[in-house]
Amino acid sequence: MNEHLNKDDQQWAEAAGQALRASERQLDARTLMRLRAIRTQALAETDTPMWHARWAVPAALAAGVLAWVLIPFGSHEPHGIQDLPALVSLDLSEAEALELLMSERGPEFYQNLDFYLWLEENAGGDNT
Amino acid sequence: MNVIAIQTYDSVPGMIETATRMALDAFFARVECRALRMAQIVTRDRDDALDIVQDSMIRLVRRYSGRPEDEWPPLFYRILGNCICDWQRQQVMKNRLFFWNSRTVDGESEDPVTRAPDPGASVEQHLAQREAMGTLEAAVRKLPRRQREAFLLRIWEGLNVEQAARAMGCSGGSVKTHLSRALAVLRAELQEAWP
Repeated sequence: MNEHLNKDDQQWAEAAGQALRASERQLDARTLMRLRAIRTQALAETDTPMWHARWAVPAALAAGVLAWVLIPFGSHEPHGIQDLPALVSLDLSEAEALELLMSERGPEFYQNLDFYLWLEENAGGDNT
Repeated sequence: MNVIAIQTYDSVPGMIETATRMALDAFFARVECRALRMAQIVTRDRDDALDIVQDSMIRLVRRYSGRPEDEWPPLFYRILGNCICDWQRQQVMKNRLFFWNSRTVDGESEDPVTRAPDPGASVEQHLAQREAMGTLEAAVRKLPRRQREAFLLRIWEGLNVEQAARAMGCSGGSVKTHLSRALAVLRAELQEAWP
């Protein structure tokens, strides 16, 4: 065993090893029972799949629930596109009112719109 | 004709075969007392030592149960050594954080029942054995980690140089050097108690 040790060291080491091994046999019954319980618990790890396999089912379930919750939201079109048909269905007066509100030109311009149209027609006539 | 595949216990991926489980049980039964005593020498606390042994067993089962049986001893003692080292680090941190609550008295938390003398031995014999073992354990505890591991694995567990080297994660030459130094220190310190 101790091929690199001298004879004295070997004898001393053997005596110490025997004493230490003898101390194992002096464990009390309660400690031995706890050790057996510990061993049983450690071996129970073999009854269940490894941690990655053990977590696979809950992880798959969680992913499924998450997908079930998120996919309906994801399938909706953006609100602007969804509301487009409503804009198209507006009648002209509403469209004109909207254009009036969004325009940089003042309301006075649209109040005199007939005059500006007449002016444009006459100006075009003069050019020809 | 349809063939019905029956998935047996042993064929479930990630689970351990019954034969391996029985071999592990036998291996743990063989080493558990020794592992507990080794941990207890360092921790001086039976409950902490039991926790360390439990962690070591569980780690071996989870990570290395698929390895050949002859590799289990060095792997187990390597895990045990790492668990003991982790425990020591935790104690250092705990003592720094809660220095007023640190335990310094040897065996303070031991159950009195466990300290009762063995009725088979005389009182004098028991006291002499206990004293001698106490001095040896104290001297082993004071050794540097690598020397302590070399001593425990080679002298107590009886691993050969190659197995001890695998357990300690070093070369065989280092194991011999650590053991030689450990014996020199122990013999110098225990001259009277262990002539």
